[in-house]
Amino acid sequence: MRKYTLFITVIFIFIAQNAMAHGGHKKEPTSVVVAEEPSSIDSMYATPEEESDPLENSDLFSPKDLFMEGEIAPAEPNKKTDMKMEGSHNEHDDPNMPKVVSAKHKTVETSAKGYGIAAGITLFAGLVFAGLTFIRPGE
Amino acid sequence: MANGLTKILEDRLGIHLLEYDIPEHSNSIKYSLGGMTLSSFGVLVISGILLAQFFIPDPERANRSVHYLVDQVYLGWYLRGIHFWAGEVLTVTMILHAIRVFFTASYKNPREINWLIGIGIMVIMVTLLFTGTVLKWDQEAYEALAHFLWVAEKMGPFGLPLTEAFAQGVPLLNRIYMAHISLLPIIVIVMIGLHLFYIKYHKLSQLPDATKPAKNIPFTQHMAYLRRAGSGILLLICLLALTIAPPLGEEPVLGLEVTKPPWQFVWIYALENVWVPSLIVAPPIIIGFLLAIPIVDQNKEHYWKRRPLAIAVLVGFILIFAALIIWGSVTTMTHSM
Repeated sequence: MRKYTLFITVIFIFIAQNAMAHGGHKKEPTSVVVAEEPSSIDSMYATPEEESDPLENSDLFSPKDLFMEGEIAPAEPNKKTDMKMEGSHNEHDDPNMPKVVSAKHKTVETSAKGYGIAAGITLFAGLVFAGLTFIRPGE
Repeated sequence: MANGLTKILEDRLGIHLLEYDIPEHSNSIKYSLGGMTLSSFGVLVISGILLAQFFIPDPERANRSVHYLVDQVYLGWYLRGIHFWAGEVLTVTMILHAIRVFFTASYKNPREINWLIGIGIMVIMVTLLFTGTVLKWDQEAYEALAHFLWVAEKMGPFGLPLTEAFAQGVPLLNRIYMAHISLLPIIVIVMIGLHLFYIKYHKLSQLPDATKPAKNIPFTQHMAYLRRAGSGILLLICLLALTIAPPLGEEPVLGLEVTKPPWQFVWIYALENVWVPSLIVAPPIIIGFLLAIPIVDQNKEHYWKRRPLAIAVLVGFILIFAALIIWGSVTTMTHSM
């Protein structure tokens, strides 16, 4: 079973990365543009004449807008890091690492802005439901 | 006076056209799950329009704008809670609706197309859920998007439109926001319209164990029932929003992988733990499986006791998903490619 799984994995990754034109991080040869070179600086709608990786030649708008270098398609999407997360399995790692507090559901505090009005809206919704349940107009 | 006004409105608005007959069993919870889902969707649209007034779809400011809404804007926390919990309730009622349709074999001839439309709606709803998760732009959002982009990259030219490389200079978060508030809702509204049209065209399915035709009621009576069900859904959403605040983290630390996805996606987190390319292959396999159901299942029976194989598949599907969700919730990431 493992043999087949490995075989399918290898085939799939091969297809995804190599067989398709833009698969993975395969670098395409830099195209030589003879005519006037369109620039992504001049216009965001400018497109190169020959198909190439648009991220290769652009410094202005790069994936760094959102991601650190090498983060667009890492070899492992969930590659474990040594960074620290409160309550996680690596809690006792190096204390100098950045610490991320995991977001959890919290109980709403009654001091929240407009809590009374929110409670009133909820009560009104409850009254409407109760009214429709008891009277059942049209049913 | 009131009756006269009602008559004028009925004449002008053509309300009498809604007086057509439908089976009496439509006024039950299990046959109103679709209507309840639609109620949640309505709440999502209205609360989403209000939320959009405060959201800044810029990677630098998105997370702060959500924090500002929650902490500073009057009732902002409640509005976000309503939007969040409406999404949660919608997920539950939508899944229950699909299970009911499968259980009662309502996808069979002549309703195959409506099953396919329903699966399409489900896929887009899940996409809306995903894009909504990303918009808050905290650690969980960043990691979700990183996974998504990894999949898009692996899809080669098919995934290119989903990456930042497709529209240089436009932050991906902007495009996700556009998809979340306009493109996907428009598509899903059109599909819901089609779904309702085909329910009307083919009529609501009969009870699977019925021996004689069901007693009919006018559709307006079902609308009254749905109004009550919808108000119950709204009450539930309001109660949840009033008591439990949805998670919201700080701005993401890039390059870090520490969070888990929401429960709707945690099953794929578990699968990924077993085999990383599951991220790519699992969704299309599941969607393909769901789409194939009315084509593969040619058994004419509707009653569940006479469909043992189909029911076994349904139970197996539910158990596998439940197990994956539980496992994904308790496990830590240990995989390697």
